Amino acid sequence: MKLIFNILKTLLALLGLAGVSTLVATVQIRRLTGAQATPTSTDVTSGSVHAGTQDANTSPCRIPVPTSGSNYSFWVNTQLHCTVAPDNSLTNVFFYTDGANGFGTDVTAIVSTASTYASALGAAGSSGSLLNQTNHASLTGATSNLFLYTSSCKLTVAGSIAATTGSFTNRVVYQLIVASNASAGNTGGELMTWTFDEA
Amino acid sequence: MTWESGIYWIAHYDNGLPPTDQRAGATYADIDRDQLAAFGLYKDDQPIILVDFRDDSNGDSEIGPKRLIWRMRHKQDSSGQHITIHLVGWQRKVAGRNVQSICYVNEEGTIILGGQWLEDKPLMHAIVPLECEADLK
Repeated sequence: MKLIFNILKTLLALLGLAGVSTLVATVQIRRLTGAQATPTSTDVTSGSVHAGTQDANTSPCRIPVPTSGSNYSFWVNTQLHCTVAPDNSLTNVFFYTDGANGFGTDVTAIVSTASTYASALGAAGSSGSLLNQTNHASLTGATSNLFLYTSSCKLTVAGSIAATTGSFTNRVVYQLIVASNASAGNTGGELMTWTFDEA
Repeated sequence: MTWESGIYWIAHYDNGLPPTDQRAGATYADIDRDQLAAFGLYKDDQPIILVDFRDDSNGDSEIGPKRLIWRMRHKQDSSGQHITIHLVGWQRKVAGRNVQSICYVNEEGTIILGGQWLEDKPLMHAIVPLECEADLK
């Protein structure tokens, strides 16, 4: 059966009746915001992700420097979304950083993955709620330092997709934490990297 | 952004079977792995690399057949940079153990010949076997 199928495809190609290009899947990095039941999915593949004391992906995104303790950004939900389907599948998804915290003194970041979307919680303009398994029930595990995950120690992200389109990974959820010795002003940017296999 | 890879694969068979050509719309799952003689990556009608799948066990029952592995491995970061490499090679059983030999081919044609998976190196981590690769499990 497979032999017949392959012969047919080759014949079609020879007759110019089949496509001759090798189309590659298109995958976007999406940020999810908004209501729990109907989140807004925004393509942030080549744009900045702003972590501030608001849910929307907007700038400025200030987190007040506290006099003591810590303030948090609203947590940031991201995931991969396929807009052009692969021939067979997309699998084997990982996420990592460069391993060096470039946010400055007393600004840290934590991360985990989540099986479902949960709206970011907090008081807009003041502080987000701490990202943990109490406030975000579908986290797949406790949070850890975002910068622990590097190209040599990647965060595994569950999820795959067959020859179709749509969102296909667990959410990578992260949050900035600002403590009292942080400097006022904008932090530097950080690069977040995803890898996945296509077949 | 939709884009097309300049690299494509062709699976070649013994016994006079016609090749399976990705340009003709064939997918990785269409390859007849039991009849595979060679698997090549090509660009502009020129071969970049050919992997030989003919029996080289010389009758040694401890050496199993080579099983094809191919993937496009994508690295995509938040600055919009997107890198794709092709993994092509094989895995086989040798004395009951899985061993593999994988070439990492970038879109410009540079090739790194690797061996076992390296989980702590960028882009050289193990694949997840697909349904059509049941013999890799």
